[in-house]
Amino acid sequence: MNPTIVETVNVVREVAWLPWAVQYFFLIGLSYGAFLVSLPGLVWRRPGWTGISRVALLGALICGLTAPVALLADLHQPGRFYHFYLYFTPSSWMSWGAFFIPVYLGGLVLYAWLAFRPLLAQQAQAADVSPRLSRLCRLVAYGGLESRGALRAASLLTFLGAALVAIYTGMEVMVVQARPLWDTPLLPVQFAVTALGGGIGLTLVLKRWFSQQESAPETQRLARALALTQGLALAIGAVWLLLGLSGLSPRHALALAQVAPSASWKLTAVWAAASTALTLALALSRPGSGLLIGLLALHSAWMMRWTVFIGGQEIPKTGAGFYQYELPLGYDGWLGIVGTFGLWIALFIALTTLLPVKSLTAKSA
Amino acid sequence: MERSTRRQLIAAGGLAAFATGFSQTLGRIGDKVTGKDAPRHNVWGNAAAPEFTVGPNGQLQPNPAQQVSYTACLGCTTQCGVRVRIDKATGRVIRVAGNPYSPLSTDPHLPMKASVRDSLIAVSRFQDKGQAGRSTACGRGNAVLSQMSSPYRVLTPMKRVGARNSGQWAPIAFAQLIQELTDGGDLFGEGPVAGLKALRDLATPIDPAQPELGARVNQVALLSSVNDGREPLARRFWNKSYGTLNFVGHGSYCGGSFRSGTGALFGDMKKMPHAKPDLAHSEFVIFIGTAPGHAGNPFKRSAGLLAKGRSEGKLNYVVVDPVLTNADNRAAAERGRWIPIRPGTDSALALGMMRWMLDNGRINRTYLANPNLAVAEQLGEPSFSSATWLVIIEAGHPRQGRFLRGSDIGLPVAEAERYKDSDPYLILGADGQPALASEATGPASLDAQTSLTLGDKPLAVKTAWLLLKDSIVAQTVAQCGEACGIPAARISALADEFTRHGRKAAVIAHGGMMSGAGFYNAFSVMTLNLLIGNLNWKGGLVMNGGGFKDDGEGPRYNLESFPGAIEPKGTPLGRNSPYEKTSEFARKKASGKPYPAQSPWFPNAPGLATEWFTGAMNGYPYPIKALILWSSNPLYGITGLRAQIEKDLTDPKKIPLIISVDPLINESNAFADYIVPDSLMYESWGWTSAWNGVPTKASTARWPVVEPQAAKTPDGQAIGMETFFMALAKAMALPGFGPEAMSDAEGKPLPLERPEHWYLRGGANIAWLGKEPVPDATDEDLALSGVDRLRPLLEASLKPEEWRKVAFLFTRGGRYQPAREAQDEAHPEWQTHRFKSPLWLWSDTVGGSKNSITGKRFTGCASWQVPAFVDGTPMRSVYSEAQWPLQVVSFKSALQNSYSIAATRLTGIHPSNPLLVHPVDAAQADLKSGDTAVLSTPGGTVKTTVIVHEGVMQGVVAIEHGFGHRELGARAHRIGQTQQPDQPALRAGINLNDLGLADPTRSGKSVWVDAISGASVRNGLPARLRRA
Repeated sequence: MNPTIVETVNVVREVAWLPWAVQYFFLIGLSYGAFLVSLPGLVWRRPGWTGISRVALLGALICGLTAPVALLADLHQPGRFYHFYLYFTPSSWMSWGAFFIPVYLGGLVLYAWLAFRPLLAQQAQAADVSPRLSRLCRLVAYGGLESRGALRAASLLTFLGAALVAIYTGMEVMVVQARPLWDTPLLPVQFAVTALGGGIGLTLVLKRWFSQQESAPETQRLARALALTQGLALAIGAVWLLLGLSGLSPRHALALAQVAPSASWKLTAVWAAASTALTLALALSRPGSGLLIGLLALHSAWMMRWTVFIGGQEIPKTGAGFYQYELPLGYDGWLGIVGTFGLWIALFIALTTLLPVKSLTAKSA
Repeated sequence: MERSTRRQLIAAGGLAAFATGFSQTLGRIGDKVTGKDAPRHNVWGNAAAPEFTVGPNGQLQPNPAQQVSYTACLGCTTQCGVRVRIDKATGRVIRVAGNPYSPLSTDPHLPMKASVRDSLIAVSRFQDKGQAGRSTACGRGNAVLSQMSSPYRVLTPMKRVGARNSGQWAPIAFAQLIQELTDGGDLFGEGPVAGLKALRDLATPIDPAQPELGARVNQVALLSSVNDGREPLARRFWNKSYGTLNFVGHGSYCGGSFRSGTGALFGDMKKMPHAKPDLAHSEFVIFIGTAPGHAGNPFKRSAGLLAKGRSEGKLNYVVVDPVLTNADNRAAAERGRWIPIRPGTDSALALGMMRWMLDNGRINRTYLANPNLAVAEQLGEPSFSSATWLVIIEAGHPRQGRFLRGSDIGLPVAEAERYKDSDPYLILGADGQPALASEATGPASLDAQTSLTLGDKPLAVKTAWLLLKDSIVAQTVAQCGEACGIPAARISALADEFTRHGRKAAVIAHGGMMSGAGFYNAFSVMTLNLLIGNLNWKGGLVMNGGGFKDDGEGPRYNLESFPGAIEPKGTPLGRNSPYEKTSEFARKKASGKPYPAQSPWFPNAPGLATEWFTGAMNGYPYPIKALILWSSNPLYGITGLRAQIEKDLTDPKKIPLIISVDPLINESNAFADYIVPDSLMYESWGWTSAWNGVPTKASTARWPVVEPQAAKTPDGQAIGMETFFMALAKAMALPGFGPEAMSDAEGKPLPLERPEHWYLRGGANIAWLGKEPVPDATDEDLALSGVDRLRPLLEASLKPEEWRKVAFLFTRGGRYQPAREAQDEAHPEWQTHRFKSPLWLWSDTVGGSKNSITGKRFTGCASWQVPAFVDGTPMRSVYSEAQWPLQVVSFKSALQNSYSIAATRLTGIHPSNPLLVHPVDAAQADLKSGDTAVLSTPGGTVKTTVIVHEGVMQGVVAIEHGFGHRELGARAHRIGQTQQPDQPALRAGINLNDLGLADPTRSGKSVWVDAISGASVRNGLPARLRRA
């Protein structure tokens, strides 16, 4: 029997999770990934990590502030976002997420402020700063004291928030049983690992932006960490495939069966595996090529989310074949993506105006 | 540029991009703040407000802005009883759901005594009542609502401008319409046209040389479609008042062959009774050429029973069809199976099964041996057959093929009664002599065969059973398998399974029988039921409960006879009468060569629209002067007709006057001279009964639950079929309509001048039938069901003691017998409504008649016959497989009916009907799904998209019916100054009937029809396919 199903009656369902959702998951992932990179230098004071960690924290902060705005836009009725807080629904991961996000972001802002206070104070003193900016920096620095205890406590809170965000973002997608591709236990792990890889990638790119040249030891350190995430991602991918192929996990087998016959899905899979492998190989063989592997890691993190969300919704819940999604030019498409990026840029410029860029990347405080 | 300025610019750019990108989000937040995005209601959002709500304690709260009424849907011919929600402010129907009183929508249905209030609560969430026996309407029923507000509706009488079928119309006043149609004249500047008054010539014969044709009034002919509950009124006008014989429906191009096949089995080839499997209790059902749930009425009820049977009950079923239908699906799992079969070869399958049953002792001979109902009932059988009755087989005897009757052996029978019902049938008694079948007190011999001596002449007779047996043993199971494409082992297994369930098994067929062997296929398939004796058994083949009769000489009013009523006489236009009684036959017989007739005659068929048009154009039996198309569309529906008569239809000399009564412009009335608007869906009156498949009595009330949209007559009534015909009657002063044209049961004259006079008094008859009259409707019933709208009409047309009882019917949407009365009280395994006449293994009328072309006698029982043209020439001997390797079939659409194309909610999910092609055939033509191909038959060529899949028999290509329209919105007409909108999407797809064949063995214009049933041949058309 010819296994092809011929559909004589069907309705094409519009995607419900818009590109906004991809932006949110991408940015929030980068944020908590980069936050993790900020810990060795700022909290644990590992030698050689301070510059890395400060840049990472800046990245985490910018992405973290941008992400919820994209999330808000993804709500089809954004004006009702406060309903999350009025009508708590314990059976919904999304409802929990509405509380996890403020925990994480509140912690992150506090942690960043505590970490950057001395730098803000330093900027207020700088000779090349306008009097108005100087006043502002002094105000925000609020004395500019460095308090280790508070920093540790804030980092702990943020870590808790980051973990909750990582869990909820993974779970709220995983629980969608109607989409076998999403409904796999490995999905939250894959989100987390690619988020960390993306966070490292973002740090690498920002570092290069600030210092115009690769600082060999720091780049190599990051490259090693990146290699670890990419190796892990490949391993998880292999386990996913194995579970699907062997039939050991019916859920993975179902997910695989949905996409396996499709040539474009095969291409996507090969692309993802090859780019991850390339990042891994470059990170190991040419750890100095920070910008390149950083961009590759960012690309992998974004592509993974795009494929899962948009690609996943191209698989009909009922019906045969695949839907064709075309990214529209308007709000729910390119314009939205450009708008998110615009906000990111504006925040970047604002923060890098407040903070002394040169000291930010200095090897030690 | 300074660095900081540059950074500021970039930051500003970023913010600008952000502002732009998120402006919609901001706007949406703004909508929330300003309350613009607030749904109209916190529970049902922006959907229409519920028609009523039911509180936690079951208290009903009606919505005063809406009306809820029970009436009938007309989205298909099932005519389900439905619940209609109307927005009172706009008069628009919002939505349709099921009527809980109607068995066509609910299982089990509510008893009539439940108040309207209770019925509404019964469909609500209260105690989850609405979930039990859910009362539903289908998606099509809801989608076709849009026809009521369609921009393509005809709302005023109109007259063509320019030539026929030019798409230009002038609206005219009702008075002008009636005057022109009555009096005729130079109506179109093309010369004089005779009006209906002049055409009503009841005296002058059409042809003095052929007096049997009847008077000239027969040259006025009306084609209707399906009885939508209004046909008796139309028939009263055309048959009894106007006096023409020619009034037929659409049966011959719908499922005519199936109906003729069952008609032979049930012994009435004109009314064609039939039965359906008792899906509620069956264990095994074989559907041949019909898809349960979307073909063969009643769709919704069948679908529900089938699903219930296979999920909760014991039902397993097989669908035998060249096309895989929705009836076999993943939900059905192993309980439903599909067996593909070659088109037109169902009799091979049936005879193969019979052969296996015969060889393996699985024919219920005990049942067959009962010679009359009394013996049968005594032995526990609810039905009986004529299997033991004797048939004359003496070669050359004038009554060869007929049953031996009392008068044949010299019993005293009045001459007028000779060969009528009271002329007794005979069995062979124990003494070897014929004995009265009706007097037998025990089983009779099935295998009796003898030669009697009557008046010194030998007369060979044998039982009907032996004649069938001869037909069965004429081929082996293997030969049958070869013919129909089903392996012999599978045929045997099917026969085995079929005979393993006692009486809880049945075979049924329908539209798939419309092939070149249609009658014999249907007769053979349905005969299988007789061989297991399942008729009238619970779980077997069951009769329809029928309806309560509105239009007879009822208990309250006489809707049947009236002074001056005419009994139309003559030869029907479709030649469904014996050739042997014509002047042509007498003339040819005198010249020594009685056969062939000029064109075939169909003595065993009902009225035949299939033969009307080619016959009228050929002038045989006679031409027609006026054609009335009432909601009918023969050019779209009769296979192959358009190519035959399209040109002639445009010529007013061929049919001088074409009048249509229709709410829409279709492929046929586009050729009309006048179109008169008609009511549509929920605007109409009528009394319908369940078509079949409902074991209890059911009459559904149709009444104008919304105001008809058509223009009004000068006295303020909506123009429609009723008011139009009544105005014609008045203008011509015809009997049967007018101030004293009808009467009550006591004979007191009453007016018949308005539609409600007819329908409300018909309702009074219904209310008083049955064991006792129905109760009175309460004021609350009237208010909750919208029937208070009708109260003035009810009180004006009915007697004081009647109006609340008739209102009771409208408040419940009809009258329905309780569900528990389906089976007989004394015999719980028997059906209440039993068919008590004999079933016929051998059809007296078919077996006793001859093919009017060849003069050869027809076979009178189930037999394997190949698809053939009307003179018996096998189709394949004219159109060889080498030339035409494929066969085209049509299949019923799960969504579209033949007039629903403009319901865009249906085309939204299924826009077209690509041709289904088997992968092997597709590979040969180098086609893949989505390709464009050219499909040709000897009768036509169409260009189509193809879908390649295995859901169609190899060698067969299949076309879903309902697409390929040229009208009904597919062409924009101009009415007065208004141009209809142009919607190219409505032209989507192809229509199989554009590929129909003429019969190459006939002269003149013809379409290919079955030689006995006269029904269209649309399945198994020879064809070829190539890449476009």
